[in-house]
Amino acid sequence: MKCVLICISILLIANLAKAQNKFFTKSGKIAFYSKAKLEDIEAVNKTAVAILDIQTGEIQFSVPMKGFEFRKALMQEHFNENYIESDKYPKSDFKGSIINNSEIDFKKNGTYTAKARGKLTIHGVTNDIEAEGKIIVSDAKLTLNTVFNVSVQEYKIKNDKINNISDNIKVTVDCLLDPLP
Amino acid sequence: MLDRSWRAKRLSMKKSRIVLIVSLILLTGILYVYREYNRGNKTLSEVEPAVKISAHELSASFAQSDSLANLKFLGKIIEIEGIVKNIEMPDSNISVIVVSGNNEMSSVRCTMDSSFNNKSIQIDIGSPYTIKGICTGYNTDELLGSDVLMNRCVMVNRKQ
Repeated sequence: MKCVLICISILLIANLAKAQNKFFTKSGKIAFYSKAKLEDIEAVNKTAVAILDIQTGEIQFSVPMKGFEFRKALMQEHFNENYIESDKYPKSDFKGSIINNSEIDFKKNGTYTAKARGKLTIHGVTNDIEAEGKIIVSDAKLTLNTVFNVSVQEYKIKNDKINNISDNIKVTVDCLLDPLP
Repeated sequence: MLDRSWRAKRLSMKKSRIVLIVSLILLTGILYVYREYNRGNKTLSEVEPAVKISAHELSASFAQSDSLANLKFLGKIIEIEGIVKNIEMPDSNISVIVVSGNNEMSSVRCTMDSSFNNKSIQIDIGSPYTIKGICTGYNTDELLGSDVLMNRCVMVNRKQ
């Protein structure tokens, strides 16, 4: 009995320690911008989930594609139905790590340059990606900021003949992460 | 002679009537395309929901099979009812009402639309509410729990 209790305590403590190294958000902001022939395309998603393990530098994002909001309803419908096919591919995600994690002092307030490398899946297609951004440590909260480009062709997203969008889509990430309780 | 000029007059009248009708059709078409192209996202307050379901049932369906639940609910206007367990304001212009799901670790996260003002609407945590929004997805994680996501949400009423 004693042995079982000790085992359970060890497991609980280990789990707690695991959680304390993690920061997360369920309201991360991901926006994109694309130059197009007829009209530029802009949308924002405020429901991205991000989780960062500051011990290992492992980082994950999950973005529900139907959560992108456009100024114009028709654009939103076209994005979901014709371009990204969000019924078929409801989520995009990124799984990777911060390669210079050891250079970031997560206990000290400040702005640090972070380089992330990993696999980005959009529209059911996975590609390797590398991006540079900033991690702002402020009173035990982390802000992640990065801007990177995504190629429409590389993710097999078909382009419209009329409103021909540019191949490069600018993606902006802005997430405020809290420590996992 | 008279007959010929009368015929010509009739023909030109016919022509101008056709021109008028064609221009009217064209104008209506252009107006329709213009309005459709510039159509904004309207508030969900006046839109009938496709599904009315409890937050408990909704999260249970996603937990059982997210691919089947996606077919049923994704992209649809849904009215849920359930107990509010938290209100989050991650940003000055984002309000999220978190409604209890089918267990301790599951929720329905309702991101309210821009017309929602937390100061003017009093929400009691632990009380039942009815909320309408568009189902945008589902997330499940060992540490973060399971969440059904709803966007552009509006309060329907407080359940009596």
